[in-house]
Amino acid sequence: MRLTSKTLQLPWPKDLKASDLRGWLKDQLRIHGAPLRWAITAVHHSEQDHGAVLQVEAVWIE
Amino acid sequence: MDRVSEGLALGSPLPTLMVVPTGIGCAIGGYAGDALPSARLLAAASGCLITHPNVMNGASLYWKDQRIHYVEGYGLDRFAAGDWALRSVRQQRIGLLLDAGIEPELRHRHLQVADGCRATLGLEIGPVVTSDEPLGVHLGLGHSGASWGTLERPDSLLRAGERLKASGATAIAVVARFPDDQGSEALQAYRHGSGVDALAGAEAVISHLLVRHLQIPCAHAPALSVLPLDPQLDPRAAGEELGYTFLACVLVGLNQAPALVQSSAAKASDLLADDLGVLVVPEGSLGGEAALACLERRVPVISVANPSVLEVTSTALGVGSEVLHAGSYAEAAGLVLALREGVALSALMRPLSALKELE
Repeated sequence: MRLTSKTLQLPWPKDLKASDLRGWLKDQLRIHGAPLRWAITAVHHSEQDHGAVLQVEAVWIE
Repeated sequence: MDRVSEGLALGSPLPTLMVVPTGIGCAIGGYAGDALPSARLLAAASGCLITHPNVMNGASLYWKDQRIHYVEGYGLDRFAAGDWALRSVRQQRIGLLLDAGIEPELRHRHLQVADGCRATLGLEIGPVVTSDEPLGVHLGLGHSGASWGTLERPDSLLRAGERLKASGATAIAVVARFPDDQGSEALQAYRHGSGVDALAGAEAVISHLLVRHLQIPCAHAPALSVLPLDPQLDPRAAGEELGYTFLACVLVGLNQAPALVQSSAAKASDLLADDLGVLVVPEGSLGGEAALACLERRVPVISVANPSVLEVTSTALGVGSEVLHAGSYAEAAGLVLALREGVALSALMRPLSALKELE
């Protein structure tokens, strides 16, 4: 078992509500291993295309 | 009377989840258990508060309140998501897990705290297990400035935890040797009340690992050398400088920490996510799993002005109109009490607009 930590920048799908973010984020996190501790630590909104990017910091079990 | 009807009785407790994420430098709760007064107030207002070690642990200082349920962060997330239920217990048998990297004298200090808690407080503590290798704690900061950390030998931690559980421990207090810091700028900022707790992220990783693996209450205390006296110490950090260890609060918290059971196996008396009446969380910290789970489950959310390094606010997440805002924990307690007593919040604010008929 090994622990790794990193930061992801994930474009927030426009049709996804905040109330549906948790399940979607866990799916994204599982691509990198088993998420142990994680949080959205910033939301970067773009005025150009009205989109947003979620900054997620996490520790995974590999 | 069914479970839902019971919860509707006027004045009955309103199960309230209080989260102050660890390691993000919250003005209230970013130091040595300095959100504890706010937790006591919310417990009185709600009659039932579920919160986590970062809120309750003041190193040598602690507070017992039968209305407060002490649940480690990973278990708290599983509870908020509806995976696990909380079951009250009269007393836990607390196994003590010590890092093999702790020096003999510091190890004795911890064993004496455990003995003191047995003799003076009547806690059930034992057995003691030492990890088969030094755990190798590493500290780090994320892009946001929040503290994160890792462990070189997580397998050794889990093996020791398994031994304790197999020997009858129903909860685990874990003490890992953390790297000493005798004077960095970050430490000085923390001790003076303006920085992030650099240890907190790694502490959370250690306790998350154990709770995830064993599904029993666990909490962590770091083993550190005593720091030189600092006359400029911020009162919020003072709890950590009263003794040789940070262990007493962990043992007291775990003593009656609720057992963690699968929701599918819950009894009528267990607390479930469906019972939650409200979440109270710092306004910039809505990006954690428990907060997102509450948004998902339509649990009312109160965001409290409590500055930190994070700005994941209700506005940033596009849920500003769905979240109640409080300027302080005193105001949040008032909102919780109004929800508990069935007082419409709009009636407490001005202006109060006239009713409108649907067109």
